[in-house]
Amino acid sequence: MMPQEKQQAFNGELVVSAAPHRRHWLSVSRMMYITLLALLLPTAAAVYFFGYYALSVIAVGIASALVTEYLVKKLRGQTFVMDGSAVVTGLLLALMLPPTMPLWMVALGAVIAIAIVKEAFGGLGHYIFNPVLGGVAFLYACFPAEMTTWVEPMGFSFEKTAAAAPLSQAFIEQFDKTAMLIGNTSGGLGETSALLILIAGIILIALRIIDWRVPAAYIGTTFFFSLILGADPVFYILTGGLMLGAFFLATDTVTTPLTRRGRIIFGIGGGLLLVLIRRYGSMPDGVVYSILLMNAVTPLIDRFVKPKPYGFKKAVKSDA
Amino acid sequence: MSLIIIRKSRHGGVSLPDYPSLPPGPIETPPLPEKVVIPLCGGCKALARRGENVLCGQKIGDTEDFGATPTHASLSGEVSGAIKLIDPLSNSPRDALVITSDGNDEQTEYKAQDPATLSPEDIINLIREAGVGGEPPAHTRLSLQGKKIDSVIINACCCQPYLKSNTMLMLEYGEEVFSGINIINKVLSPETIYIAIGHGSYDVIEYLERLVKSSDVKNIKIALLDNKQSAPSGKGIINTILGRGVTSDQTAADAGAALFDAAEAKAVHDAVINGKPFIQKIITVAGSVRNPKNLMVRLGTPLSHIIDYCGGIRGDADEVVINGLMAGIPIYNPDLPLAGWMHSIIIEKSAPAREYDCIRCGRCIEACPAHLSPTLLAAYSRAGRYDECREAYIESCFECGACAYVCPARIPLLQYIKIARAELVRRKANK
Repeated sequence: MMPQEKQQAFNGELVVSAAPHRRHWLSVSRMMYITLLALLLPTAAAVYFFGYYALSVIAVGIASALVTEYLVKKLRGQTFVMDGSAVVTGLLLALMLPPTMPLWMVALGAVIAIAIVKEAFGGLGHYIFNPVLGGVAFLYACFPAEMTTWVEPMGFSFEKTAAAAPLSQAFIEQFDKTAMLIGNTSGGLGETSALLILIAGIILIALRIIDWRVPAAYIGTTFFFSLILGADPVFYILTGGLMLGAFFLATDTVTTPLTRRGRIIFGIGGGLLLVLIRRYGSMPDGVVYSILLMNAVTPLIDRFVKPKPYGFKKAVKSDA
Repeated sequence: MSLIIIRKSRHGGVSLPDYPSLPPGPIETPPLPEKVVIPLCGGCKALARRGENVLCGQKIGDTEDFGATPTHASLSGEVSGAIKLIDPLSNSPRDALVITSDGNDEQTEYKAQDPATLSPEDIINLIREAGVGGEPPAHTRLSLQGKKIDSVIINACCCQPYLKSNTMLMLEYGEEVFSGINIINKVLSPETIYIAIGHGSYDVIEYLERLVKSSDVKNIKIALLDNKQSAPSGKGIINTILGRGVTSDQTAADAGAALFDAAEAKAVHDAVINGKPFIQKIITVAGSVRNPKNLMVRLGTPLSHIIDYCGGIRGDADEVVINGLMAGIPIYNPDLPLAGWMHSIIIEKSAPAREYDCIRCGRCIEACPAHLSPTLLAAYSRAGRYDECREAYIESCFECGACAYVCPARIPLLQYIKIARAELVRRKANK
């Protein structure tokens, strides 16, 4: 019954490929798309609180990130792969911006993030600074006024009511902690709803897409260090970009240390820098710079925190 | 002191999903092939000429070198040719004899022995004479030459997808395996013998427990491993059970342990008690074949003959993998003969994956049971920086494949590591 089929199989060439011949289901593009799905939660909050402004900023952010990635890949003579990473970058960038940001500035930020911070360093896997944060830092430097124009959540209307800046004294007087938790406050588009970001982060941790050590160390350090310096730790955690930064930006695998111990050091360092910048700095929020600075330290951490080798009782002689 | 101890992977390893199409037992014996191809060990001289008739079990190749093993005919018939064959394990050419079957399967005379009357040296010689192979050959692991061994590990795990040969071996030939273990025990007289059983093989454990309890051997323990696939692979099992890491340039004996496969224990029994050489092997044939089976096959049987007996390749599968999906070797010639180191044939549909650049997620580091950084090793290897591979302890790798399994960027980490290790071995040899 089988000879025909069998002959076909054996006369045809056998394929020889590298082991292993089974792979874990999680691939890079699946990681990206699952991250995107999780990001839908803070995105939904952004749309709920900031309506049309949120939709337009997010659409422009994603579209310009994708187009830039495509063009840069063409320029570099490489093939463009739809792995979802550019979409994640564009969306995260949009979620960090104030709702009333002029759209051309949003587009410019996305172009800088993808073209300079990501692709100029070699693309996915090679950049040393988080592209989203690079883009946001660029916008802070160029457009400080627009980057710090805050409005009250308006839903689907075009009414703009100026509101207190996150982390300011006026902010505490204007909003209570429940509003901060839910996200019904002024702030970056997707940064306001601490609760939804937390849920999204826990989903990613449960799926083992992100390592819990980074957000735990980052938020934990922020909590205790701000307590020591006499700030209100709950207020520090619920406002500004900390939650989004801890779960979605500081966990970017490319720019964080390779080892678990290294990631804890990364998170602690980020938390210390964050509180110092917020407490004593002139910057409105320290999330962007605290993570960027720790990105810069990452190669150093990797150099010193290495897994302990196995089977070698004594150190290996390098000339062995 | 309980008989059964539980050992978990100390670090890393991956749990694999269960695969439903496990070949059902029992062990079957396929009809004898028309011809077998028997590769001779390195440096072996052929003892039979072309045109000569040989009996099954007759020695057809031997060498003066104590570290190598002699070769035996696995069929009776005529030596019809001497060919060169590429050995898939080392990718180097080896001499091989082709024996065309006369269909009678006449056996040579086997001399049965009583191990109680034999000295350890006699036993070691008998095992060498029987050609029980392995890496290094079993008899060399039994002759210690001054090294001290306190533990013997018998690996009877089947912790990779589809593989069932060891479980079936234990269930159907448990007494032979146990008798072989007792012979090893007599030669090495270690403090403890650990029989490593994979997670889930409770029928094997029950059976072994009865065997051990009814014997008067007191130093045997059954080590139940978890279902992490890398726990029982290679020398890693020594770390899993004893907590002693062994690098590739050390032998198991350096860590005070001797490592045997359950199939080797059975071969030891056959060699000493029955005087039979190692000419057949239990293997699993699984994956995309019509009838997955566990088989008792003569060494030297062309793999295509075995696959045909299992009903041939199913569907459009186009890859034949020897020894497991995690770190197995794909072959390009289905007519290769079955060798002693093979324990499974799995037929697969090849699935090319897009390779990304490393995204530094660190999953390979977490999965590595040898505490290495596979992604760094692969990067060094790709760049040809082999010395840096060695400084990053590449020699600790025992090639379990866990890193490449978990890699979301689909980088063939294991392959890069193998390339670097082969190059380092070559350089060392040239020095």
